Amino acid sequence: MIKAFLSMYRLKFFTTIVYMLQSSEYDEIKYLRWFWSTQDFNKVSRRGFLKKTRSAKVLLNVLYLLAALIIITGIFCIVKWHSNKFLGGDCFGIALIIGYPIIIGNLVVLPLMIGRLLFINPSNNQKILKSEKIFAAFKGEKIAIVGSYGKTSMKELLMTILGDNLKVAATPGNKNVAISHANFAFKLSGDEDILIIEFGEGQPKDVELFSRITHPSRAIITGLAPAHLDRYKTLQAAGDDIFSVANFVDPSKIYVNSESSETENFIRPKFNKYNKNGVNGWTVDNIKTSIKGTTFDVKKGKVKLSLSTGLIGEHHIGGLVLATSLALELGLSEEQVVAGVARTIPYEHRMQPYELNGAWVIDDTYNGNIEGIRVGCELLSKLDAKRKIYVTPGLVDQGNDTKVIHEKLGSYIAKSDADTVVLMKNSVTEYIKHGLKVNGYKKKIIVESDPLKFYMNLSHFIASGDLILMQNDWPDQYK
Amino acid sequence: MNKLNIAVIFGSRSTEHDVSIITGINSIIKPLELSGEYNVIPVFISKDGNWYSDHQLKDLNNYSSGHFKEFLGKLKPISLSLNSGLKLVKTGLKNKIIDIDLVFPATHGTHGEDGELMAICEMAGVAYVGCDVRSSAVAMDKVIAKNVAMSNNIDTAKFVYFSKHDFNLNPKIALKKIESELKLPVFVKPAHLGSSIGITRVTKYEDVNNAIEVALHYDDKVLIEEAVNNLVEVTLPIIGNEELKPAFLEQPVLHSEDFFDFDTKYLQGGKKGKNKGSSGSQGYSTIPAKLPKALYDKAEATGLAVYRAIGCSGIARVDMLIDTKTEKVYFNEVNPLPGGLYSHNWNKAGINNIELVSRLVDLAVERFTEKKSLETVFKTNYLSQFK
Amino acid sequence: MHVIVDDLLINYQTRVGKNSLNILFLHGWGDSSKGQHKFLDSLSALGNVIAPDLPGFGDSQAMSRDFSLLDYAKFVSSFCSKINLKHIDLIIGHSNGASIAIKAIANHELQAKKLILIGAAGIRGTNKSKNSLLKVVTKTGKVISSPLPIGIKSRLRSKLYSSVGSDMLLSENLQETFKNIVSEDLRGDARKINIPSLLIYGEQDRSTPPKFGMIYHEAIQGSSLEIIGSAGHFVQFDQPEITLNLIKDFSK
Repeated sequence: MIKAFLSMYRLKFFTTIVYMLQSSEYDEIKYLRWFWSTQDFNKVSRRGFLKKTRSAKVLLNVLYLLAALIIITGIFCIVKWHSNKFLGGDCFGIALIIGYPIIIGNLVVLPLMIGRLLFINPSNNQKILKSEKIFAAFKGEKIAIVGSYGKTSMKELLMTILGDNLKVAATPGNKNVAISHANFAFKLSGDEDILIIEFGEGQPKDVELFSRITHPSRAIITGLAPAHLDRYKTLQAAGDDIFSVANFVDPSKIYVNSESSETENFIRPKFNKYNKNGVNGWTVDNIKTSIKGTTFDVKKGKVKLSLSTGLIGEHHIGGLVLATSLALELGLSEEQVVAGVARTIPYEHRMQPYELNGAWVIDDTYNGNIEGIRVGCELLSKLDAKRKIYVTPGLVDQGNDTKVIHEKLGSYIAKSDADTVVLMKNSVTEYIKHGLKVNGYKKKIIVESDPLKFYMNLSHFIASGDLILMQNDWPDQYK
Repeated sequence: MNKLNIAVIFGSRSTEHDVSIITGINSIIKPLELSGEYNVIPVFISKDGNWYSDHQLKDLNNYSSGHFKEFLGKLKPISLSLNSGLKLVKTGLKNKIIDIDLVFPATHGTHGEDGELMAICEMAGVAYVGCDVRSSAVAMDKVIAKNVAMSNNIDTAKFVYFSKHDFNLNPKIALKKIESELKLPVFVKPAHLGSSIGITRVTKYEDVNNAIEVALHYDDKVLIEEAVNNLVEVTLPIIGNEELKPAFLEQPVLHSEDFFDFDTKYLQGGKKGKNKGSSGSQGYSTIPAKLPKALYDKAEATGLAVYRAIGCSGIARVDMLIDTKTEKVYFNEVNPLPGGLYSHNWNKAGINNIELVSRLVDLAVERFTEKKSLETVFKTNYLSQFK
Repeated sequence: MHVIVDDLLINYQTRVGKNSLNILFLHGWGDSSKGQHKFLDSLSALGNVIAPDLPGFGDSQAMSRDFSLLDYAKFVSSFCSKINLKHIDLIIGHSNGASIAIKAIANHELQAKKLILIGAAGIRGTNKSKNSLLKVVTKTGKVISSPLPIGIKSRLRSKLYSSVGSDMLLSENLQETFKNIVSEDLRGDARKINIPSLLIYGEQDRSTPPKFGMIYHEAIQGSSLEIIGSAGHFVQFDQPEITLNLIKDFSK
């Protein structure tokens, strides 16, 4: 307790504060919530550490300066009181000196907000408006990728399949908001055949804004699931925003993942649906999936292609068929498409299999949505293993639906054929357990209080014949 | 039921002191603790023979920090009490006594794996993991182990041996004996050492003398044996008391050196540990060994036969040499406590680290209970005559 | 490979060459045959290479008493007879290994046809400023750190030493031997050398500067001196081809 309190007075406290800001992406509300729920500042930074970016360094120095200022003011007050010129100066001064970490911790958002309002926002708005002209002038295909999940995978997939034969540029990493689109636009050389633009929705009207700026010629909607409900409030509102891209694109050039059941209410007649059965007249059969990858055949009229991918799980097939169809439409040969699909391999921490002590681990720790959980559990039930272990902490940012969604999550795990379920202890654990119980799960449930310890020691728990699926991982700020 | 207090003893005065620290901490203490079933007490024997017990000794970082001497200097050595069970005694203003229910030896080589540590446990009447005093002692003397195997009709490469005393008395006679009895190339080995230390492969008779000197630098007994032709080297980890469970036959991948030396065994594997696959602290190997089914079975049977002949219990690893042309399997040596318990091999065989150590603890308890049921106190009148 | 020499377990490496030329290589202070394995590989193009780890270095056991350069020279001689190395065509010594070679030849501990000295040490007194600085720092270091706990003391000391470029801490147990060696000047011994000798120095060498080479060049009759550009103390690493070619031409 005392140690926890004293943690605020360590020099490391400042780094911790900046780390917390950085991890909350400089979102003041998220940061303040985290700050006030933290008891021991020694224990904040466990998974990550402060990345010393320029702004982080500047901020850190500002904080040091502020702290020094507060303490000096405190001393000044006490001195003044001593010379009888400042009534109550002693109490005030001591309060300042003792309370400086709390003052700093809260005050830090002030320069951020001021900076944003006065400098960053206006400059960003200018850039975004400028980028609109670049996008409008671009004559090639502009494919927008929209949805609550699966965007990055879809982007990578298209890049891999199209990229070897066409000049394709895509928004990098998870840089998927208006200002990142703008920066992306400035870097284009202009001779690209295809642009792939990921839309990272976060609050109502986001997708609408992105569409206005980037003028997509096609849009792929990868799925709808509860995400960012802290801002959208309801799934309906999120769906409305995501599907608003359709107001800017020819409806016959909208592709919707119909495996995502929540999309159903939003699909209009002219949209194309894609799923593991096919798209655009292409049909799929002969699906075989294993830990090493997936193979399947696609057919349209007389054309038949046998495809194989390193991606595991049937849920990738819809996207692969869509990419196949688009690639052929955009002029690639059949051979090029087959070779392109064969190049697709799992991305880091997304259904990525690896061998450990003779056991297989599927790392899906970047998966943070209920749809991903569903397909993961389905995959687990289909793969062969002597012993199956399922690991998850649950999902974050599920808003008012947290309870319902985690009970659903429990029901998915109950059907996954897992012999052992490992839950990372946190605020949603009980909901998941309830979901498991209601759906008749009777095998072993382990509640692990120290996730990091669990991951570090995983190798001691497993051996040949084991299959471990790890879905999602909570960053430091969630508990 | 109260949790068992398990003392994991590692380090000791041995050329394999450092390897033992890794075995003790990574392969035994960690999984024992993760099982949640036991109280694990680390007991470290320093290179100079002092015994320490402190929870900080579970942290590998303390050994590799470069300030280990200072770290150890701050700890106080403990004493052992063998009175009705094994107890660790930490002396201080008030002595702190820890009762030990079971000992898990993690020592390799001399002063530990050779039966000495097991003898302390026997004297104290405490259960312990792995081979007992007799089998450990037999296993640690390659000459005796070979003789035991031979008397059980198990093949072993042709050999001669000398004590340090006999060799030094008349090296010429000894060398002549080697020349007349053994074909080249030969391996010259210290009789009691593990981990390929002090072993030389010799291809010319005139080099035998220097090789024997090297072996005798480490040991008081030297073994000279014929090399096996068309060699495939295999090793088989086995656990069990009466009912035996073998892991996979494992085939170390030979380095440019002509045999499995200390570097390949520990150092290189350690450095390249990041590499996935079958590389462990034991270097690169193929698991299971690629052998024709019949030969594989023969080698496995030989391994099990050796385990029984030597009287091993708990765990041991049997090294064998196979002449793939004649399909003959030769027993080479037994390791009562394989480095890292050979957990990488057990993992491949479907047993995880926690299961492995838990099973070994169960086997130790089983043997201990059985032995106890045999113990009876004999009453005699022998002393009364001295009244 | 191991061998017992004077009751010490000695590790050595060999390379079998294409012809019968026998080359003995002696490594420097803190180094080992392993550290020079690439160089040894390249030397095998010229002949058979034998490279012992000197006592206290590499995988060789440390001696139980303090050694002088002459002790090392005598050791090398016993080593050669132990492994039955009857004739040596060429001795190559690097740094302190070169000093040992000088000592051994001058005192007839070893017989060889030719001698190559790379970055040979053993000239004392010219580098006054640095040496005396080392002494001052070591002395004052002791005074400053004496009331500190041992842990901090040894850390502080290694900092002090490394800041002045001393090799001493490389082998902690060999401190007295190191002191013996750095107090010996080999100019007198060098004058006694009467076999063809080649001196190789790196232009940028700070531990054994080219100036040492000039001094030895003067002292050793009929010797030749090569100063290699863009090379430091480890000439054979910095300019491997040039070094090897020099050795090749010289050994013909």
